[in-house]
Amino acid sequence: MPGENFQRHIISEINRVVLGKSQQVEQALICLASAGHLLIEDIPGMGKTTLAKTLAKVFGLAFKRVQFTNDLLPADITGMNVFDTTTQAFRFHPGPVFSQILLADEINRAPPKTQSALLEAMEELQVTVDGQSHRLEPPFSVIATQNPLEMAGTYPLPESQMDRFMMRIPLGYPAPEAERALLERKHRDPEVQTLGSPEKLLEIQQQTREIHVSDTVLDLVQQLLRQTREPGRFVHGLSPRAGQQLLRAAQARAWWQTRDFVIPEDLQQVFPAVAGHRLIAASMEQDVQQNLEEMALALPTTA
Amino acid sequence: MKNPWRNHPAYSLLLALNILALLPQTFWLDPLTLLLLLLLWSWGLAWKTGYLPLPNPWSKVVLTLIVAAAVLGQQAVLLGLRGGSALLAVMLLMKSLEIRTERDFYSAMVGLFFMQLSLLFHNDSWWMGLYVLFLALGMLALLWLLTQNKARDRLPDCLRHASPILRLALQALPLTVALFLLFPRLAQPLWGLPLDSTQGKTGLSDKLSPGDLIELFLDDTPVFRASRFQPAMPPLDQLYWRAMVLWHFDGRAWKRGWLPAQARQKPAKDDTLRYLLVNEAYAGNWLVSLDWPVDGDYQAQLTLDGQWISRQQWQPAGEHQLISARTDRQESAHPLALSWGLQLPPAGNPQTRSWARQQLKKHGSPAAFLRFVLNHFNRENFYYSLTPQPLGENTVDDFLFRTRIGYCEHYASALAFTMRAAGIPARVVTGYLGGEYNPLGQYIVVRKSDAHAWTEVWLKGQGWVRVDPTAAVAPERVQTAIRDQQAVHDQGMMTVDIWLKQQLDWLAYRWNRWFLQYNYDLQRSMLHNLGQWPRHLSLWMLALLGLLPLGWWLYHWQKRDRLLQQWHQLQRQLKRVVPEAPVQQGPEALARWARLHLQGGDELARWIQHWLQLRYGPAGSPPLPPLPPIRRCDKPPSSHA
Amino acid sequence: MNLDSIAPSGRMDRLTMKRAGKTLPWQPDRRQLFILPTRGGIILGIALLFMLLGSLNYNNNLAIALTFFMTSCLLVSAIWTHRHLQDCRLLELQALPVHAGESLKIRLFWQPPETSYLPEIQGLNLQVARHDNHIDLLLPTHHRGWLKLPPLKLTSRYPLGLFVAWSWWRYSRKLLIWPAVEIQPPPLPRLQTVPAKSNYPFSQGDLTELQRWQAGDPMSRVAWKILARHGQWLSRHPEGENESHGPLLLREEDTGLRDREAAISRLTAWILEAERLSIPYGLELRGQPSIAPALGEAHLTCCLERLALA
Repeated sequence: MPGENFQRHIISEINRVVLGKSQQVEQALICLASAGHLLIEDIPGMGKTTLAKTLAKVFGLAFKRVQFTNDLLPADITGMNVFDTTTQAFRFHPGPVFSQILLADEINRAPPKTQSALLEAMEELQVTVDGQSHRLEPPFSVIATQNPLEMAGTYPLPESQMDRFMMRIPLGYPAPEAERALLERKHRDPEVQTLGSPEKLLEIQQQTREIHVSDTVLDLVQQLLRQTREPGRFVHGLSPRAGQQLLRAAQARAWWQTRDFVIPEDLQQVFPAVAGHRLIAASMEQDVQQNLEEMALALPTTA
Repeated sequence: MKNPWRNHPAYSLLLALNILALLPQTFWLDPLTLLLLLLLWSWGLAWKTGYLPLPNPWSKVVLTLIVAAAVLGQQAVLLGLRGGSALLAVMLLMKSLEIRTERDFYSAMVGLFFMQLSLLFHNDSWWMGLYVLFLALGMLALLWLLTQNKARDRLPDCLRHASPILRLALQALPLTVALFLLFPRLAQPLWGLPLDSTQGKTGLSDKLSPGDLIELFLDDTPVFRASRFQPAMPPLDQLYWRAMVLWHFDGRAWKRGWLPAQARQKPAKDDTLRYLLVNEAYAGNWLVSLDWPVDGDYQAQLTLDGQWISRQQWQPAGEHQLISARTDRQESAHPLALSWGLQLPPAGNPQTRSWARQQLKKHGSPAAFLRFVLNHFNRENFYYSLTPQPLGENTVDDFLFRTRIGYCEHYASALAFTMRAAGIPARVVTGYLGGEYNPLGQYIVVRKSDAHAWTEVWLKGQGWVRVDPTAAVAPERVQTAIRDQQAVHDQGMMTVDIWLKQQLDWLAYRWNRWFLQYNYDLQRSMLHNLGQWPRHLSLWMLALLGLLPLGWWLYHWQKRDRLLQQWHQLQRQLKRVVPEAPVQQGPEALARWARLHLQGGDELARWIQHWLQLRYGPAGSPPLPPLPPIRRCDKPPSSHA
Repeated sequence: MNLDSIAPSGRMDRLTMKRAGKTLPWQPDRRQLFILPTRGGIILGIALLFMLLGSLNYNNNLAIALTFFMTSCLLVSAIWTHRHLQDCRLLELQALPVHAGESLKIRLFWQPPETSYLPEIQGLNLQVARHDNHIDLLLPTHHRGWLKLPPLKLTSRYPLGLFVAWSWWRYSRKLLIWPAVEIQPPPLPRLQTVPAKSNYPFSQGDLTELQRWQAGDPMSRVAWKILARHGQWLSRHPEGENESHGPLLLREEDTGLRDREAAISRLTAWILEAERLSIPYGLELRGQPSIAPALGEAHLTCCLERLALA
């Protein structure tokens, strides 16, 4: 494991650029460290792109951005076979998905077929074009954004597809001091220092997998899953895969906290973000996110 | 209507337990009773295997009455232990023939309980204890089967999965021991009904007629054991164990009588013999002691004629410290003794009477006459045999002048009669002679077969003198056994069976000493010795009951979550020193807070980190150091980097 | 199975039910757990008392030891009984909502202390089937709306059947029972065209058989030719659905029924029918804001819930 300072350096470096969003930064880093995909839900102009770019830069990752629109076709993402007149053969022309961090802006604006192409890539780390599979090289993470307010002409992601994202986080408005600092900035954005490398990230992802999980913590994970399945809370409870993702996220958080084991507080911190987008409230009066926050708070931290 | 219990493994187990409880009864029940019981049992078996239906209610009542009458008819006394256990067996077996609900099983189990009790009353040796323990475990298994309600399975399969029963029994052991030792015992029995009045357990009865003792000679059951002789153990042929004095002769049988109690005198110190006597339980108000008894801790009266008379008709197993005089027989000539000692029936045995008078006249003094009679027994062709010929109306005449074959009681009776006929006071004494030395435990075991009868004769100037006519006839009777043992001892060889016998007897001796004789007195002295216990046992028991919850609490305290306790300790201390501390937050949040707000917060944060490591980290972390002191920051926190 | 206990009946039940557990996961704590000897326990206890008297009287130590051994076993078995129930955990409850009149199937996951002897479970009007890791409860329902589970009584006589321990559990959460479905409802009311909202920006006049593609429509129904020609995402609908020209607003007045319950039953039947035919539907109940037409499971749940609680 790199020195404990490594984690602190990365975090402070990102926070130097992305102001007043330390919690969101932490969660984005957790996603990255556990090779998960992130869904940011917020109105435009909240710094989604900045966050994604900074993350990519810090680790020296190849970054691509795709603005999803109504007429975006699957091939626009995956790439296509182009007839090369010089060789008299089809040549695969890779799309923006062949990157290491892909920012999929306003993902709900693209038609479902295009969405599915991206989701397949996220799930299986490969794209299929004309019956031919092309592997994506890890690390590969998608940061997708979605505008929750503007519903006209959008195709909301089906619930089953939401499962592909590890977390969903809102960005929210910055705190007043952070906003002031933002306004006072002379240049557009300060330059980010590259502290890691893609290889480093792969190493981190491996390390987070090996973080120790005690039986007590596993019990707590099961308890959370069970609670979501109780009647009257949500339409469907969390799936076993969601449970795995919850645990992975908790491991990654432990890594960022320079610990080599998971504690209940890790679960407490990541649970609402991991579970929120996978659940539908059972009745109109209930708010999913609030319900999840309550469940997380009720988790015994010293069990 | 189908009875669901027929194929239930619980019924098979009940049948097995029934036959197991019946099995030891073969030792003391007569064959006819046993046969009837066995038939009843096989009815149950026949029902289970489908050959016979269960008896209907009416035939059951009739059957019960018939069998009970037949069984009781075989018993001499209805309410004795033998009759009682036979009746119990009948009821148990009949109950097993009307199993319809679970409740019938419970009733049958009550019957089994009492059967076990009757087994123990018959025989309280250690192996019977083991046997009954086995039965008790079987009953637990029966309850287990009834609860598990696995009607389909076969009995062996069920029993294989009944191992928790053993665990339960083991867990019950400590409580059993505590209850056994501490539960208040009765100082006096609530009722004195002897368990079996027909057959005293040692067989010595307070009446002696020709042929009475013969049953005993074949019985190897130990009666008592004696040890710790001080200053030294007398030779075996000098060990006359005195039990009863028979004063009254009715022409055929000698009957018991006793003189008033004597004041216990202290004999000269160098003349006493101290020893420890450990007896088995038996029926009768007499107690055994070595001739001549002087003192002892029997709860009984010591009479002028050297008998111990207890107020109870039942003597439990016990251990007693006794003192006897070795030579000095201090018995005053009580007037009653002299008149009883001359009592004869008005008629009968004319030949002996006239012979005695003639010979006394010829020899002059009573002492010379006594010598003559003993010589007579020795010289003439008197024989010692355990299979004498039957005697006619005049038993003494027949014996002295016709058959001349007999054993100790014949000789003792004949001698006493002869003396009385000559006007010399005499009496018959019964008891035991000798015993077998067990080198393992260094004690003497006296068995029923050691029963003996001898005579005591009043000689002027000498008082009552012990005369053993059997020794005059057949010294080997007294000496054979002793010689045998001597031979074994001298040659240093010991056959396996003797060795085994001694081992087993030693085991029985320890069993008697350490288990069977525990009673009210021992309990009191034990509790007394343990220290300053409250005087009232009931209070003591209450205190124990009070301790049980404490033990429960201690157990849970032991098992509680140590780490969690330490966390609570931290929360308490923090709250005391810094009331606004966010103690309800998670450990990591608390550590972060401590770093910012507490003096020495870093140390506390490290402690918390260590705590987390122990609780959630991989095993193998070092133990937790003591909680660092918690101090408030005096000055506002410096900006934290 | 025959519950041969003298204890929990009538008054005793009412008294002990006050301490029922209400949460999930749940494990009875010491104050929620009650224990009494069974009839068998009392019979054997009395027999032991007599045995004690007899053996004490004759100071027969073996008999006394036997009596105390059996007594100790009885007492230890009481502790076992207590522990057996205390180690029993109810973990999770799963129930799919049903319509009033149907039987509610509840699956209660539990962790019995061991599988060879499962604690018994009773409840009013409940059919219970016990399994190693779950219990299936079948509860008849009569009315729509919230339903509270009847209290469940967990009983154990393990290991010897001489003591019976019991504990009550009454789930605090309520389960929602949807309204009953009218058995032969009239066909869906005359279609009430809703003014097109922003969700439906295209006029539907010239596309009678095609509808705007919606999230959730199968790919196989996409009208690919039109997509290729016009770049519009449309999907085909089978014959039967052709009648439905647009979203429906189902209103309570349209049922033509005076009786509230009957009206709700009919609306329920219509909603289910509309969902089956994939006709977007909305709901309007008297005195309540209407639910805008839509399709899908979440929407169906929302409507049924509104009806159940109306």
